[in-house]
Amino acid sequence: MTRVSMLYDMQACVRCFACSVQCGIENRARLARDGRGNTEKVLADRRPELRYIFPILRVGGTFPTAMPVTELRHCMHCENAPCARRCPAAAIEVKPYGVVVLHEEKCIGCRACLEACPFDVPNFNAKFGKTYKCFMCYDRIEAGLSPACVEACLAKALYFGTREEVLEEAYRRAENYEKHLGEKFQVYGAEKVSDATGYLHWVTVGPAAYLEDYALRPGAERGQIEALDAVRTIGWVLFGASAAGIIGHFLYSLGKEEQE
Amino acid sequence: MEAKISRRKFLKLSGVAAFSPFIRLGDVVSPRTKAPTPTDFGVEKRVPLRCRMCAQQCPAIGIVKDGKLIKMEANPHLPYSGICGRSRSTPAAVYNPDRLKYPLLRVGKRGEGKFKRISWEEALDRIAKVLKKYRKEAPEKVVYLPRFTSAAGIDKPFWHLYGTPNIISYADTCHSAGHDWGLGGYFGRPISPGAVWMDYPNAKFGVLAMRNPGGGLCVYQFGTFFAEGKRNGLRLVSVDVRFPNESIEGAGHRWLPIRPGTDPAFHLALAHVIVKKKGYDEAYLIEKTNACMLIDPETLEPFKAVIEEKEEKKGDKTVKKRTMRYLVWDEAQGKAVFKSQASKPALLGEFEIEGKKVITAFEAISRALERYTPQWAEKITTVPAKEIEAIAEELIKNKPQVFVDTGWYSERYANSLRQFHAIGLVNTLLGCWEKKGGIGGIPKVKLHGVLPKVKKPKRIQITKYYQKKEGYPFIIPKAGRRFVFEALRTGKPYEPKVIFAMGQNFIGGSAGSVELIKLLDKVELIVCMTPFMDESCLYADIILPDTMFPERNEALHVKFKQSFPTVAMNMKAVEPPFEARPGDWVMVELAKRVLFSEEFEKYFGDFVRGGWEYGWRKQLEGLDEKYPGITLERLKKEGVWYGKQNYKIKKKTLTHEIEIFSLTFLETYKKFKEKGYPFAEYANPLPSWAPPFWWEEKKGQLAEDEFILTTGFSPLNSFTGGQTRNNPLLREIWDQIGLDRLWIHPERAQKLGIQDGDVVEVFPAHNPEIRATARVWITPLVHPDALFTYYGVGAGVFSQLKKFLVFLPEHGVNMNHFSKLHFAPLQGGHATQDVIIKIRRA
Repeated sequence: MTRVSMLYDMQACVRCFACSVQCGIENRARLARDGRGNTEKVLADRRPELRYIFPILRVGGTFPTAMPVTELRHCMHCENAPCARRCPAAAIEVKPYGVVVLHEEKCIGCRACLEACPFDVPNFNAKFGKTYKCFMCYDRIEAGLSPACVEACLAKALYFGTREEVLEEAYRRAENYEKHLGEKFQVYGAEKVSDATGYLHWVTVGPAAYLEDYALRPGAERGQIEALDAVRTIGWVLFGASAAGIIGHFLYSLGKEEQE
Repeated sequence: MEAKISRRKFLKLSGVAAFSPFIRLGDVVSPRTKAPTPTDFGVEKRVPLRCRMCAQQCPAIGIVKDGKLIKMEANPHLPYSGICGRSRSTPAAVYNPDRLKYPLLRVGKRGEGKFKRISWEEALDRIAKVLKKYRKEAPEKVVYLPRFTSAAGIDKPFWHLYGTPNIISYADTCHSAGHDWGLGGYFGRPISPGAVWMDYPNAKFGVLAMRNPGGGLCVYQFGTFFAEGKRNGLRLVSVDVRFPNESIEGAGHRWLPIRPGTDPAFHLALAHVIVKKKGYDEAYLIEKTNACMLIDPETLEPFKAVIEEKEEKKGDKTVKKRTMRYLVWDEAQGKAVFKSQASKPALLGEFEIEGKKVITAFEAISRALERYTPQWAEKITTVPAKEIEAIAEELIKNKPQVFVDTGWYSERYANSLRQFHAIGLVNTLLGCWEKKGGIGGIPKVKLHGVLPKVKKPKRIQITKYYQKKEGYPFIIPKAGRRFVFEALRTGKPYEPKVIFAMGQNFIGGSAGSVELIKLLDKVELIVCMTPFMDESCLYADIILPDTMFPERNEALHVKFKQSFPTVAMNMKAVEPPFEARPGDWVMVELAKRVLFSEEFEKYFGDFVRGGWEYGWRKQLEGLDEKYPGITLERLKKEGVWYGKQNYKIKKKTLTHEIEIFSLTFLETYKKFKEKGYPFAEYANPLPSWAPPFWWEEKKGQLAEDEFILTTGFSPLNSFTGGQTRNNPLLREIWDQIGLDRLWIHPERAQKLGIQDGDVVEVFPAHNPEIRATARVWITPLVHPDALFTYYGVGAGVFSQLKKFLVFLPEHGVNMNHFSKLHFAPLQGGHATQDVIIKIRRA
């Protein structure tokens, strides 16, 4: 099946975070759609975890040459999806077109995915006992629309398409920037970034030096996530929290062993 | 191959049956039983809107489901369409629990914040009673302050019919008139930010000074343009008191920190280097500007110039067109002739004609620039001389596909007129005006009025009085809100008695808020109409709950800061909540009560009967001949119409050229010099440095605890309206990036013993009693002399507001609260940052 991908172009981005606002709005509209509160209620509720793309501000250097680097954090939709492999409840689905979807209704709140994710992406909400992360608006994708954040991006810094289209666009942009700005640019995630993750379905175009400062992304170098031991440990830690979850763990680990 | 079923596999399979919600079937997960699709949203209606989360009205589409606005999208029928995060958070403003729900009557003292609910009937009757009284006595004492008006097209005719000329906007707290006349000198008319556009997509290099296109983001206006420029590899240098990360994060850009209020020195030094290196566009200066004009070096008067008057037909009117013909030195003929007769006019030089010494205007400019060396500028601005030289080199090399951004929010310091005059000079030297990759002029479609034309009343407008009599020749009369308060202070020309603020937060938005509220005792009636409580509402006698833009029909709008002439529609998408009503309804109701019945019928009759359908048709009458395709049907369906891109900039100069030597400035300069006016130098047509107020006061040296408090716009907030500053969705992101913090330089913080995250007290040196708190961010991203905070975060000095706006951050300051009711020389801007601010640990 044709794979899809996203592109984030750091150079084009104007740091307006319309993507983040729109993500929050889209997810609130989904809540209202699914009968989980009327429009007024879902809008007034503080649910920061419902914004699956959000800024983290960093500053490097000293005055007057200091430089801020805003990281736009979002799920990378890894080829190998360590979170999905680790999820004991099988709440994380890898769509055949590459998108990694966390199904809220199946989530047991064990936070195994938080441990598994090398990019610190999933967000746990203690009140609901659920974890949330970007699912690349797969409902919109399947209906032929682009993800909400892409629709929101006024700078065309976010770009969506088939993997081939996205990589072509990414390399074209990187080359154009190198030509005009005389600095090395990188397309992060086009190739495998680590054994754990493989390549990424959300690639980033940015100045190579920035991508390093961007702390892009130290965790990606974390070793292959070996599910078994960790899952068992966590499973027992969570004992009592969710019996179903434990059984899920158990069954899942059996399955894993079987494959190996 | 036969599958072996192990014990484990068996368990797994049985598990599938028992706990199917949790288990994988092989490696394929079954799809959700009911996969959602966008059609599940049951999107019933897509309604054309013009976003009013800030004042810029980007064309948008409102998505309505079950009678509720659930989302906003950019209008797709425009070439550079887009809306920002503020706009996308509109539903969180529309359904905000803090919306004003009913008309309110003040029951406590002004400022106390005690009100009781009254009916619309009572509210309108009370207002009408006072209006009727003043209509007889002195209608000019009624002042109407529109901003986010929900009665466009209706309000102005009503107030003019009522008899007051005082319809006054807030632009003196923004770009009026340091920006408008500083640049306007070159074109003989005010150049507002809505008059020109930077060709970001085609420029190669640009200097951002006084605009951060990503921070003060207006998307259709220039945001998408700017982003396209960035995608094309545009290189930028930002000269700013803080790192404007919205615009220049990324490769190829530089930040040059500058001491607050010293920008004119930087631009003068740029001009110095460009002239010194002969890096200007010589042919352009000779052909398109009055650089070759021969002038008297003593008086600066054009030498033996003649003014010709011609009558020209313009439609059915004849207008007098005045043209100045001036002498130049023709190098081909070796004598002075009119420019039209010269084949090789001299750009530089001193000549003798009939025993009189004359020089070219450009010679005078070059001589005036002599002293403004980069080394001189470095001492004032702290920008290294070699950086100034390097920027000048870049500009010269890439001209004319370059720009020094003509900026927007200028009224921060006393010297803004000189600052923008210097910006205009650099752009003129480089020949950027009207060039691809440079700076273009903004075209506009002219629509008809919704109501029959009403003449502006003859009585003296407050701002006009100050323009003519009190030393502010560069005021733009429709844009001088703070002179209403000056009139209260001085009684000149008269004391206003009624203030009707339509969406204007005249207290929170004006420098000297605290001084200004003391003057309000002299005002009999203050009415505020707005969807959210603000500083001004606290002092209102009657508060009227306004609609938000998706809740009303509005007149068609043409004022877009875009290179394409654009007309856009705003149609009612959802019902207003509770008893919120739109301004057009309020104006009609007041008109019914206040005007004579025959007046009402004559001016309002058709509109009342025909509604907006009539109003829109009236606005568009006969326009499709000139602008094909501009029909109401199209506007209702697509929301927008746009025309051809334009670069030409309209000029109203006497020479019909770009006046690098401004005759408008010269006239004022002469007049004020004769009078011995202390700030006459501000009108010098030649390049000239003028310091900000604070520099004069402190001789350029700030003490250890003294700062200049600076502000800038965030793309996640705008102004002082509750729609953005009290928006739960935006607040979430504010918290993530610490948007409400006060930026301070690490060395300055250390000297004051302030730690990152400390809460400090902020107060002005001239009145330590005015205090507010802020959380500190120690960061190398700000100039040591400056404090920086995003505009309009928090309640500031007016902590009573927190009761009405629950999503406001706990701390946060507003520079206007601390500032003085002072005025920038000659042009009357509010110079809000131009006071000394101190901080101490709370």
